[in-house]
Formats: sequence, structure tokens, C-alpha cells
Amino acid sequence: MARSRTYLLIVSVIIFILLITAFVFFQYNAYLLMSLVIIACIMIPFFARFELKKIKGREVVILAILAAIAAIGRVPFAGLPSVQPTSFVIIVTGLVFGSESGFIVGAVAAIVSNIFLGQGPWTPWQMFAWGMMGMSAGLLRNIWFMRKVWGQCIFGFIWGYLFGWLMNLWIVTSNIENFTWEFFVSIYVSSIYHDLAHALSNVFFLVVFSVSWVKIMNHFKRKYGLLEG
Amino acid sequence: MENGYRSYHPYVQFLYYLCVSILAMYFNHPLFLIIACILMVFVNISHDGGRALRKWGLVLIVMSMIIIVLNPFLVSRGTNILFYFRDKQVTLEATIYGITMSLSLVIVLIMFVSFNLVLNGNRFLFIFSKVLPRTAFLIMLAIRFVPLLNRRLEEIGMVHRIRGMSMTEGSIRERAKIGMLRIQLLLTLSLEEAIQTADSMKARGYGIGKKSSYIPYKMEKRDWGWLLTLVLLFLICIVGGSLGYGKIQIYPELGTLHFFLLDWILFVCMISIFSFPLIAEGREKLRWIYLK
Amino acid sequence: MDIFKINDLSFRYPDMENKVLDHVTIHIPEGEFVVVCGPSGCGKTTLLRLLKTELAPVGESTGEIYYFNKLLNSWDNRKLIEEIGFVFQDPENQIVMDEVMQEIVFSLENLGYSHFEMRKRVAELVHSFGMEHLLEYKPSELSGGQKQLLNLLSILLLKPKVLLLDEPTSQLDPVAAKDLIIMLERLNKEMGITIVLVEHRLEELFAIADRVLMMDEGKIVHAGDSKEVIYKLYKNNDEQFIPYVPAVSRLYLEIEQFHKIENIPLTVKESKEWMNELPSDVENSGQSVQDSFSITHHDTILSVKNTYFQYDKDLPMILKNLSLQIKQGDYFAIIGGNGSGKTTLLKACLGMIKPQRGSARYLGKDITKLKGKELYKKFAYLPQNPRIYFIQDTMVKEMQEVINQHKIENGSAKIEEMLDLFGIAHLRNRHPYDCSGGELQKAALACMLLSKPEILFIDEPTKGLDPISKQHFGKIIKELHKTGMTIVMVTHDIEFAAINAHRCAIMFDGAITVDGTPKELFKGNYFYTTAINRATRMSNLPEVLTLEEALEIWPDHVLTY
Repeated sequence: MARSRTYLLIVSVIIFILLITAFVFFQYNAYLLMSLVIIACIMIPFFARFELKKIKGREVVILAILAAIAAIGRVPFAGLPSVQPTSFVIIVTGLVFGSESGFIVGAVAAIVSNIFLGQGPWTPWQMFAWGMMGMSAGLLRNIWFMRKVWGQCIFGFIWGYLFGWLMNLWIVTSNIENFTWEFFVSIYVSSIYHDLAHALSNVFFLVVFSVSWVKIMNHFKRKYGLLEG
Repeated sequence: MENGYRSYHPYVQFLYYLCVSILAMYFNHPLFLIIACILMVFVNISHDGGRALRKWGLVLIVMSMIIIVLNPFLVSRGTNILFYFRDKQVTLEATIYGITMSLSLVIVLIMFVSFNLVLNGNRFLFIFSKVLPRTAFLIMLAIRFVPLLNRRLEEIGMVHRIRGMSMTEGSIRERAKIGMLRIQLLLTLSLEEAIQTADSMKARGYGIGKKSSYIPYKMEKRDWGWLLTLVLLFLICIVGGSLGYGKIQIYPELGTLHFFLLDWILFVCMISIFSFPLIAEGREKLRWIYLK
Repeated sequence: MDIFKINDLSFRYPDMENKVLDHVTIHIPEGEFVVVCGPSGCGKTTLLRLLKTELAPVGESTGEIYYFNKLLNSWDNRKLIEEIGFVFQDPENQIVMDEVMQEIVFSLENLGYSHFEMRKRVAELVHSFGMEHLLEYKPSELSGGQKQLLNLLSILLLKPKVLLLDEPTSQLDPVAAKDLIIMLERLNKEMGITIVLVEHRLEELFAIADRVLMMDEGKIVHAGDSKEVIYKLYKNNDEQFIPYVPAVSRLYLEIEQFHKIENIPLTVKESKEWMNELPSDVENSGQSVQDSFSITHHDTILSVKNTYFQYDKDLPMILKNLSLQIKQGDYFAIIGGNGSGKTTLLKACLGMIKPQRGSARYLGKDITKLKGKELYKKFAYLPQNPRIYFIQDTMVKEMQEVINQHKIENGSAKIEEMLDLFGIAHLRNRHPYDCSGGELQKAALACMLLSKPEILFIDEPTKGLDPISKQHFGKIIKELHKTGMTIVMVTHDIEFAAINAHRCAIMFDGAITVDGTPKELFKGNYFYTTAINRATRMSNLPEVLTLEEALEIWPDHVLTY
């Protein structure tokens, strides 16, 4: 199980890199469109796995409620720009329920929150970025440093930036035709502060809440025997 | 009851949006894009008088302005130099590219506004559930939980306000902490309650065997008609586009903006595709007037 | 033929010492309407769930359950899902889909029915339920009662032979609850569906039920025909179960000296028949009805003036020119049906919403502007679901938190005092989620009272409480009120308001229609009144609102007659 999952992850990362290079070196016309197709292609194996897996009704409901909480978590923070708990919820889900659940909750949370904030070409990118966040949290959960709060914090900090960088890619890919490094750098520079806020809020939430959230979810998982492995 | 464009089968609507978004990013002739953009605005107005679009208006204008203004300063490709800015050439090509770029993007975004209005929740999932039934079901459940969670969150906020835990005062740290405490409360509360939802599913046979599905939408004759028309027009546009019509050459040197005969044909095809919702709505209106 | 035969059934949850069900034996004939009641934790829900294999709890069980003379487990799963329907307590949580039509056909889809069959069944049932108009809404937009009907409908599409219902009306207002019960009666009488109903609110049910089962500590303590059970309860003076008996029957048994089983009234109609047989000369000898509560003449502490509110520009007005004054030391109940705006009014009083016009003021200050200490020193709010009050994982920690926040001296002594006062010392280290609704209410109140608030807001306190817990809760609030606390309660429980509150207001269509003492307000109403009042109105006896009042003021010679 664990091996096939790692395998899947590696394959999808390779496809991703190949396609990005194909992008840069070959001439296409509709770049944004192509990028969306690529994102969709990368995510299909994960969704397919979820479709084919044996899973209980309860587990589907729990994943749905976690995704809904991740999406709706933005509401109380409306007055605090750049602070949102969505990433935190997704990381903790990955830590407790494993990589597949992390991916599904991340991807679905993106769709659900955009149903209320507006879908757009960025939706697949967000699905991908949050999905990967949950998935990587799940993959790394048994490594020693992820069991420590500081390890989780580093993880959360890195993902704060990674998420922003992935999201910047949609702007870049839609501008490939006049791609210059200057353009690229300026996009990434302009998002530094926003990403920093995201990274720091991830760290803050993980420091203060990860222990209690993991405890709550673990208690629940054991009580109902859900999503083991 | 829904009528006009909204009464068409979700497949047809989905195909329409697919065609629109592909064509918006496919053609890059400014005239094509400007007309397409105007048509999309009209489509939105035909849905709800443009109310949803108005919310996005400012964002769209600011965003396209930024792209139009920034692009020539950031990109120095092209041959026709307009002027120099800090020793860097500002070219006509980069300016035109910025304009077409932002137009494409604006069309896609306006399309999504319309998409959100028409292919909302269940219609979207109807299409989706053919491909990924369980994922679609999960998304549906999540969407269904949102109003419920919102109500709980409001209740929690009320209790917290009276307990002196406010989100409107104190340092960012404190406010973030209280906010997260609310989400945590929501989590503990909702996990238990979600088990009840799962029980209710189980009690009604979820997962017992092969599911059939209730088909709320039926493909009628007019749906098939439009489906085929859209496909045909779309193919013409794609083939024409691959021959270089409906497009202009920008880099390294701006090509001609002149319309050839095939350009005109493609232009008409594109307009027909884009105005499908308008035609559908218009026909209904005319019928009413005629009946009176 | 017996649809269910339960023989010597015992059940124990893992990690629990006591059995939840202790040698239970019941036979339920096909077509019977059975009502099961008992205090929370008596095992009634476990019993019901054991009858539905998909929901059967995990644990250790002995004894057998037969379904049509064959062991329940040996039946085909699919057949059981179709034939045994289950309706849950919470109308909201059991809805799965995001569209009414999808929700209705959910069960049919799962069992793989053809599109043709689905359309046929839906068309027939939706029409005969008169639910066509609901199809246009989202389930989240429906009222609680409509949601519960929707759940019922979705199950009925499978053509079940028996319906198991777990407190289906506990979250509904009285009007919606009555609608649901009438529907169940219809299903039982017209279609012959067997019904097993677990319920606390029994006023109407005793008249309908073929059999009543009363459970306590895993055993069936009383069973039989409604009148028989009531008679037995009174004969044994069973204080634990007497509160379950309908008020009109209690009135009869308390007042009539020579009661006969067959004469025990179960409905207002039967009660009137009995009263008409009483001598008519008592009519004028009764004391004139007086208000036993003295209206307080204190200062106004909370005032809402000419308030208008709507959630959005395009949405209808929820509060319309609403005015309300609450005086120091009031015990005020706001009563209203679903969608009357009473919850919105509460939000305005707590400063959660800012009215478009008018304002809610506390001692002259705009409540929306009150912050921090000004609020939490003086206000307390007990939500409908007391669980959401608790942040910590034990009761004591929660109380310690309040002590710290308010910097109360001598904290631990105060905590002990509160725990004793509410009789919840045994819960001290319990997790809030492992407590019953009644216990949570007490614990939340204990926490709030540490800081001695001046005004207490309560939202729907009686939802889902069994009659005993309800009585306890009423007593506690009465005690608090005596200490001078102002109490504002929003409820749809008219009996509870009539017994407890000193001033009531009826809300309708976004405004307070009338306000006054419970007597001024409820006497003479058709629906917004108690069953006792409906029975005694226009009778030979003085009109009264509650059983207690009747016992107090009716002339003695009626009682000794």
C-alpha cells in the first residue's frame, strides 16, 4: 500500500515536471488551457484510487465534513486578511487520516470554498496545491520529525511558500508566450509577503492547535474505527 | 420553473462553456476577443441583469489594467519600439500582447461568473458524477454541510461574544487563536453529528450494491440540435484557427490585423457560438410577445 | 402475526459495566402503534437500533430478535433495508443530498431501482403527501418539520412494513410535531404500517398508541394499553413516570375521586366530556382567577425600540417595528413558531446583529457596541445546544477558565459550591461530550453563574429533554430568578413558559403581537395555550392554565365530590 502510494506520487511529480518542460520548450497556443488539462491529468490517478478503494459510508461523510470545515474555516477570519485555517485543517487531516484522505480533503476543500468565493481557472491549481499539501503531510506523518511540533511547523512554513508558488504558476503559465525571467521573478517577489503571512499563520496554528486537533481526530478515529492505514 | 437558456440540458450548457473558454484562449485577434467579451457581458446580463457580474466588475477592470500596463514594461520582445523606459525598450508587440492576454482572461473570468450562475451545484455534479461518482457524491455532501456548519459557527460566535471572546478586538495573535478555537469547537461538534448522517445513509442502503441513478435532466430534441450545432461551429473555428485565421502574429513582429474572407466566416461562427444563451433567451421572449 | 418478537434480549456496550438492556421480552403484532418512553439512558434508543441491523450498536448481546418468525440476522440485507425504515432524532443531520428531489430518491438509487420505478413511486407519494411545493427548495431552506417529513418520505418510497422512529419530534415546534404525529397515525391506520416510536413528548401520543412501553434501566417497567398504564402509574404513585402522563389525564386522576380505567381522558375532547358530568353549580363558587405573580415595577434594563432588521437587501424583513422592554428581575418568555423571528430577536438582544433601524440597548447603551468585560460580566447566554459552551475537556477546567478570566477570588471554593448547588459534582472530571443534554445545561449554567451575571438569555431550553429533566431545569431557573437575576427565554414550549415565566410575549411575523402575564396571554387561545386550558375553557369549572393552578384554586368541594 505505502509503496504504491509513493510510486504514484513520484509518477505524478515526474509527469508534472515533464509537462512543464514541454511547456517551456515547445510551441503551443492555448497555454492556460493546456495547463489545466495537465493539472487534471495529474490528479486523475488520485481520484481514481479513491473511486476504486473500498471505503465505508462513514468515512466518506467524515472526509466531506473535514473538507467543508476546511473550506468554511475562512469565515471567522474574514477580518484578518491572509490568515486562513484551511491549510492547517488539511495538514492535520493528512497527519491523522493519511495521505489519500489528505489529498481528497485538500482538493475538495478547494472546490467547495470556490463555489462560494467564485470558481475560475485557478480552481484546479488550488485543488492541486492543497491536495498535495494534504498528501505530503500524510506521507511524512510517520517520519520522526513530523511527530514533533517543530517538525510540523517547518513543514507548515515550507508549504505556506510552496502553495503560493504553485498558485503563481497559473499566472505564469497563462503568460508563457511572453515569458521572461524578469516577469517570473517579479510575480514571485510580489507574492512574498502574502506567502509569508500564510506560512506564519500555518506555523502559529500548528504550534497552538496541532496537539489538540490531532488528539480530537485520533480519538474519533479510534472510537469509530475509521480510515485506518 | 427554469426557462430559456437555463432549461437546457447540463451537457449542452457544459459544452457551451467548454467552447467559450477554449475559443477565448485560442483566438487572439483583438476584434474577435473584443466582440466575444461584449457578448459574454450580455450573456451575463441576460441571466440576472448583471448583478453577479457587477461584484466582479472592479476586480476584472483592475486586473486587466495591471496586465495591460505592466506587460510592455516587463517584456521587451518585439520589433516596433514605442519608447524607452529606463533604458529598456517598450514595444508595440508587447502592448498588443498585453491587451489580447487580458481580454482572453477577462472572457474566461466572465464565463465563470455565468458558469457559477447556471451550472451551479447539482447541474455541475450531474455531469461530474458520470465520471467520478464517489468524488462527486463527496463534494455534494461537503456542499450540503456548508449551510449547516455556517449556522453552527454563528451559534458558537454568539456564545463566544457573550463570554468575552471577541474576534474584533485584541491582537492578531489573540484573534487568530479565538478564531481557531471556534473552528475546533465546530470540528468536535460536527464529527459526532456527521456519524448520524452516515447512519442515515446506511439505514437507506448506501453502499449495499450497484447504485442506479435518478435522471433529473432529459436530452430533448432541441438539446440535441444545439449540441450538434455547437460541435459543428466549434470544429470550424478550430480548423480555421489552425490555418492561422482569427489569429494575429505578435512576436517577433506584429502581423496584419486585416480580415480575410475566412476570417469573416470564423468570426460569424464564433459569434454564433458565444450568443447561444442570448438566442435561447430571445426566442423564449419573442414567443411570449407573439402569444400575447 | 408478530412482526417483531424479542425474547429475553440483553445488551451491554463494550467498556461498560451495566447492561443497557436487561432481559427484555416484547412481542409486537403487525399493524400496531407502539410508543416507548423512559428517561435518557434507559436503553430505549439501543433497543430501537437493535431492530435495524444496519444501525445495531457493537457490543455483547444475548437473547433473540425474530422478524416474522425468522431470526432478524438470517434475513436478506436488502429486504430488511426496504422493509424496516428508521427515522432519526435530528431532522437536519439525516439529510444527505443537497436537493430535495435527490434526497427523496436517495434510498431508491442505493437499491438500484429503475428510473421508471423511481418516477412512478415519487409521483404517487409526493402527491399524496402534498409535498410538490417543497421540490423547489434546498433542504437547508426547509423548516425542521418539513425536513422530518422529507426524511419520512424518502423512507416510505421503499414501501416499508415497519417504521422505527427515534424521538422524531424532539427538535420540532409543537405545530410541526403535531403534523408529524398526524402523519404517522395516517400511515398506521390507512396503510397498516407498524410503528415503533420512541418519544418524550407524549401529550398527543397516548391517545393514538395501541400500546405504551415504559423503560427504566434497561427493563420494561410498565407495558400495556395507554389507560391501563396511566392507571397503574397512579396506583403505584410512580413519581418517575407520572410526568409523562398527559396533563388532562393527570387532572382527572388528581381530582376525580372514583376514577375508572375506561374513563381516563386522553384528549381534550374526552376531558370535556368528563367535566360536563361534574355538577354545574360549582361554576360560580370558584374563586375569580387572579394573577399569582406580581408584576415587577423595576427599572427597564434592556430595551429594543422600533427595530427593523433584514439579513440582506433583497431578503424580507425579519424584524418589523419591534419594541420590547425587559425590566430588572423579569422572567420573560418569548414564544413564537418557526420563522417568526424570535431567534433573530435574541441575536439583536445579544448584539450579534445590527438592526437597520432602531436599536437594542442595555441600560441605555447600544448592545452592539458593548465589548469584552461590559458583556461577559453582565450577560450570560445558554444556547440551544449547550455543548457549544464548552471549550475545555473537563467541567472543572472549564470552570477554572471562567475563574481566571474574571479573576474571581477564592476560585476553587466557588467551583465546589456551584458543583454542589447544581448536583453535578460527579461530573467534575467528565468530558463535556460524554454528558447528557440535561447535565450539560446544568454544567453550563454552573460555569456562567460563577461570574454572577445580571441577565441570563436562554434559547429553546426544553428541546430534547425528558419530562423529568425539564422539571428540574424549570426549578433551577426559578431559583435563579428568585436571587434577582433577570431571565429572558426564547421557546416554543408553551406548557413550560406557562408554568415558569412571569411575563410572556407572542412573536408573529417579525413583531411582538402581544405581551402580558401567561394568564392574560394564553387563556382562550386555540393553539397557543396548554391542553389543560383547552379542556377547562367553557367548562363548568374555572378556567385554568396549568395542573398546579387547578389544584390550587379549584373549590375544595369539587375535589371532594
